[in-house]
Amino acid sequence: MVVAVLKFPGTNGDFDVLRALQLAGLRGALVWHKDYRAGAYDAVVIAGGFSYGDRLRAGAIAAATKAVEELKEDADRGTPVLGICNGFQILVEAGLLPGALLPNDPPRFISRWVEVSVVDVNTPFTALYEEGEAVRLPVAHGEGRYIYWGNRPRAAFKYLEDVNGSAERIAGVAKGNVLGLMPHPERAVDRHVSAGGGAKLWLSLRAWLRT
Amino acid sequence: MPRYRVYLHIGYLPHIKDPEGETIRRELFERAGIGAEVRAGKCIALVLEAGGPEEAGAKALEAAKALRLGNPHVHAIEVLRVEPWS
Repeated sequence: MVVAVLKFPGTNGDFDVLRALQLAGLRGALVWHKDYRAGAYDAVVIAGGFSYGDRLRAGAIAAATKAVEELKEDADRGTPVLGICNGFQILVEAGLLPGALLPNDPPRFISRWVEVSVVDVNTPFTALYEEGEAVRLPVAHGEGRYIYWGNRPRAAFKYLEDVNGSAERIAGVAKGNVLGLMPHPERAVDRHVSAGGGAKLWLSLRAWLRT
Repeated sequence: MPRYRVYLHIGYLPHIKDPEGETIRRELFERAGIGAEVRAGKCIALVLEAGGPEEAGAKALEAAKALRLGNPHVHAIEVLRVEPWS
């Protein structure tokens, strides 16, 4: 089983994701966006960073690439897809997840640890959490204010406090087997720098892929 | 075919909260004692060929929408100005 870690120009969370996968006993493969092909991987992670320098809007340029077209095929066939931070922004811009991520309110870059609650444990990435479990994860973003229109989205994570002005304090959203979240679970797996709150996300994926 | 420079404005729809505009108003205009509503946005200038200025504006707007220069649920895109470009 191979988990693709999709990389665009400006992605910078890829090695942290690879390490988190390794610690969870999963094999990750760093895949440059031009090399990404649908059907080649068992799961996909779009790592965080600043794809294309956040030009136009965070995630907007990457969302228009051929790689994301191929990713849509994978998502349609049920392949687990995870977007972290800028990866979440890309998934939303591409329409793979509902809503939009706007500049934070108040308008500032936030880089700190926050507490989130896991509100949906029926995704390939959250199955090992308890419903309502509080997890401490770091955030680092300037455009994380989640809004939606029409039907209420399937929130997967919610901030326990107002972090960036997001509607209903939504920190992560799921649709099918696609999950996007602003906090960084890959930066909360090593016990010497965190409480390890992100580990269950990667272990959930391993369990899901093995069933 | 003549060339035109088209200035497009991409701004938030009226019901979308604009924290950047609010900060500019509060921290600059209000402090200076100038009463003004402020909305932040982005201006993009395109140079393209067209049969006339109206066609140039329409082409630019159509392309901007097709390429999602703005998110239709969040942003409004409008042509600010069209000028001949040599």
